[in-house]
Amino acid sequence: MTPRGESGPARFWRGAAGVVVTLALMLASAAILRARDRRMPLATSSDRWLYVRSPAVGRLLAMNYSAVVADSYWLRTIQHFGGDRITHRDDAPFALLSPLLDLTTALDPKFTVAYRFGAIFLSEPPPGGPGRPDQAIALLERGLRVSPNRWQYAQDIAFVHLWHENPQAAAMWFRRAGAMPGAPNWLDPVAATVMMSGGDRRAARSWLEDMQANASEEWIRTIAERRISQLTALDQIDQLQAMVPLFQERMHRNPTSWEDFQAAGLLRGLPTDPSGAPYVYFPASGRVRLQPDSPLAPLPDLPGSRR
Amino acid sequence: MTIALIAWHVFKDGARSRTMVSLVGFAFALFGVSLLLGQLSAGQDLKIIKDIGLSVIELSGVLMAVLLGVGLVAKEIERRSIYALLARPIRRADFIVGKYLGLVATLAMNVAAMTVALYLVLAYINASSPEAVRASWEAPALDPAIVLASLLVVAELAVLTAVALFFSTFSSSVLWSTLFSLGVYIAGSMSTQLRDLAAAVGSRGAGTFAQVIGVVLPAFSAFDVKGQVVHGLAVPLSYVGMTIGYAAVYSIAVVLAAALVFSRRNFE
Amino acid sequence: MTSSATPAVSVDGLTKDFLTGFWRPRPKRALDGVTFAVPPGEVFGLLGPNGAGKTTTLKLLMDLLRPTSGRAELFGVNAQTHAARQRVGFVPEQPYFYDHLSADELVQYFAGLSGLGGADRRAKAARALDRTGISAADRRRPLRQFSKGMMQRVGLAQAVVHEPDLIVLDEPMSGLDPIGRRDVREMILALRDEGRTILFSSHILSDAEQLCSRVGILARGRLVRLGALAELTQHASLEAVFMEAVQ
Repeated sequence: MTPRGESGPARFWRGAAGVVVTLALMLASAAILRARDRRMPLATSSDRWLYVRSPAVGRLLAMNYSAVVADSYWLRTIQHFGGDRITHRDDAPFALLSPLLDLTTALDPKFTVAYRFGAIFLSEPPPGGPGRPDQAIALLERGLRVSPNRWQYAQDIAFVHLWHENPQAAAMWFRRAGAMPGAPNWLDPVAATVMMSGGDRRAARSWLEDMQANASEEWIRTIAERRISQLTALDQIDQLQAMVPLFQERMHRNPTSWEDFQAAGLLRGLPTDPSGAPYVYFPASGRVRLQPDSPLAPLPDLPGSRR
Repeated sequence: MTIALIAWHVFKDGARSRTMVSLVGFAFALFGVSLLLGQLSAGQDLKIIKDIGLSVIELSGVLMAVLLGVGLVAKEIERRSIYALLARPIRRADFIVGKYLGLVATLAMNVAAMTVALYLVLAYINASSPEAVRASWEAPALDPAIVLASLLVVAELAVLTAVALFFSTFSSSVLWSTLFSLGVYIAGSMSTQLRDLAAAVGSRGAGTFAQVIGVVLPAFSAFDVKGQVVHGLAVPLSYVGMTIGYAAVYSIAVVLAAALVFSRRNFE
Repeated sequence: MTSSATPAVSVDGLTKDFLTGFWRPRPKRALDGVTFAVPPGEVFGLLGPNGAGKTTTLKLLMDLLRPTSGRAELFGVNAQTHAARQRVGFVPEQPYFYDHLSADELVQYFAGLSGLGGADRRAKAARALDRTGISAADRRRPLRQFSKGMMQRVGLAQAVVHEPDLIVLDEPMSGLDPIGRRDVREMILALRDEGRTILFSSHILSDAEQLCSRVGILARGRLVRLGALAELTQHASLEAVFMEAVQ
C-alpha cells in the first residue's frame, strides 16, 4: 500500500480506486444480506417478544432516558405495525401494538405522534390492522388527560367515531375539539355537517343557528346560513313529498305537475326553496327535488331523508 | 509473515490485557447471577439463563471489540510506540491487517471460552432439573444451536473490530474513536428499524437516505439469532453461512479502507 | 569528500509543509529544500535548535512523514518503500515500547519483523542486548519497570538487532545521565568501527564534536551549514559557528 515514490495524480487515483473498491464491497455485502433474507427469513422475528409490559416498570428501567427509550419503543411500534401488515400473519396479528403504544406514551406522555398515529394504527380494520377503535379512543383519551387542551386528540377521537359509523359521538367530539383554545375554526362547521349526516336535523339546526348568531368569522356565518337553508329545504321536500300519496288517494291517479296539486287543493302557488328556486316534481318517479342549479344544491345526503 | 507476527503479538497482548480479563470475569460473574435469577423465576430459568448468557457474551464481546480495537492503532499513536514499529521494513497495510486478525482471533477465543462457561451452567441446570421440567423446555438445555449463536457473535465482532480499527486509523484520540465506534454499533443495531422508519415516512428522499445508510452502516441486527435459539426455532446452516459471508465481505471492505487511510497517514 | 559508492542517505530538495489551524488550515513550512548526502561509513550529525526540523527530516527518512516535494533515498532506494528500511535501524526520540513485554521479547519481536527467524533471531537478539548493556536478569523484566536510561538502551538494541548498515538516531542523548551518555557515545563509535553508517540529530554540540565526521546545521527548516567538522571549525568553535548560523 505504501506508494512507491509517486506523488500527485498517481496517488490520487490509487486512493480513488481504493474508495471505489471499498464501496463496491459494501454493496456486495448488502446484496448477500438481502439474498439471505429473501431466501430464508427466520421463523419469527424478535419483535414478538416484549419483556417489559408494565408501563410503571418501563419508566423505572428507563431512568433518566425515558424520552429516548420512548423513541425506541415507538420505532418498534412502527416496525411491528408495518411488519404485520406486510407479512399478513394469521395468529395474533398486531398483538403487541397496544402494549407497545402504552409503553411509548407512558414513557413520554407528550409524545403527540405516538397518540395520533397509534390511534390510526389501532383503529385500522383487519386485515390491515387490529380493528380496535375502542383501544384507539382509550389511547387518545389518555393523551387528553395529560394534555387537556390538545384539540387534535379530540378531533382524532371524532374521526375514529366517524369511521366506525357513530356520527352522534363524532359530532360531539368535533364540538369538544372546537371548544378548546387554539382550535381551528373549521371544526365547528365540520361538526355541524357531521351532525346533520347523523340525521339529527333539529340538533343540527339549533346548533347552526347558534353558530350563525355568534360566530366571529363572516365565512362561518355564511356556511351556517346555507346549511340552515338546506335543512329547511329538506324539511320542505319532506312536506311536499307527503302530498303525493294524499293526491293519489283523493284523485285515484298520479300527479303530473304542481298544477295538479294546486287543482286538488293541496298546494297554493309554486313551491320554492329558501333561495327562491322552484322545486321540481318528477312525475315518473313521484319524487320532489331541488332544481339542479339551485344555490342550495347539492343537498347533504342524510339517512332517513327522501329526496 | 509480517502479518502473522503482528497478529500473534496482538493475540498474546490481548490475553494479558487487563480490559479483557476484567470483561471475561464480569461475564462469568453474570452467569452466576443468572443462575440465581433462574432459581427465583419458577420454570422459566432455562430461558432466562440462555437469554442472559447469550446477551452477556455478545455485550462483553462488543465492549472488548471496541475498547481493544480502538487501542490497536490509536493507543500506539498516542503513546508513540508506533514510530519504532513502523521503522521496521514492513508495509503499513500489513500492520493493519495483522492487528485486525490478531484481535479477531483474541475475541473468538474469548467468545469460545464464555460459550463453554455457559454450557457448563446449562449442564448444571440440566442435571438438577426433574424429568417433567425438562420435557417442558422449548429447546434442550445443551442445545447445539447455542454454538451457532456464538459463531454469529464472532462474525458480528469481526465487523465491529474492523469499524473500531478504521476509526482508530485516522483519529489519534482514543476517546473519539471509542465514541464513534459505539455510535456505529448502536446505529447498526437499529438499522432495520431505521429502514422501516424511513419507509413509514414515505418521502422519496428519506427512502434513498435509508437505503444508503443500510449499505454503508453495518447491519448488526442481522447477526441476532438469540430469539430463535432460545425458543428452539430452526436456524439453518445456510443462513449462518450467508451471514458469515456478509460479515467477511463487509469486514474486508472496512479493513481495506483502514489500510488505505493508514498508509497515507503522516505521523507528526 | 566524494565517494563513488551509493550514499547511505541521500536527501534532495526535501520540503515538508504542515497544515496548521483548524478552521482555515494554512501550510507551515517545516523543511525547505534540504539537500545533503551521507556516504557509507560516516557519522553524520544533524544539528540545530529546537524546532529547526531535525526530527522532521529523520521522520521523512523513515517514511513516518511524506514529503511535500523532494526526494529521500536510503542506499539508493526510495525512502517511501518498505524495502528501503531493510538495512536501517531507527531509534526514535525518548522511545516507548509495549509495557507488558520484556526487553528480550521486544527485541525478538522486532527482529522477527525485520525478517529474522528461529535460532538466528534468538542469537542476534541476545547479542544486541549484550551490546547495549542490558543484563540477563533485566532483559526478562517487563518494560514498564525500566528507567529512561534503560529504555534508551532497549531502543538501541532493537535498532541494531538485525545488524543494519545504517542507524538513525533522534536525539539519542536526551534525558540521559552522564553514564548513559557515555555508553551511547561508545556504542556509536563501536558501530562506526564496524563500518556502519550513523546519522543522528542533536542540539548538544559537544556530542557532535566528539562523534561526527560531518555535520549539517538546520535553522528554521533550512540547511544553513553543511560540511566536514574539521573544515567548519577551522577558524571558530562549533558553538560560534552554530550561533552565527542560526541567527
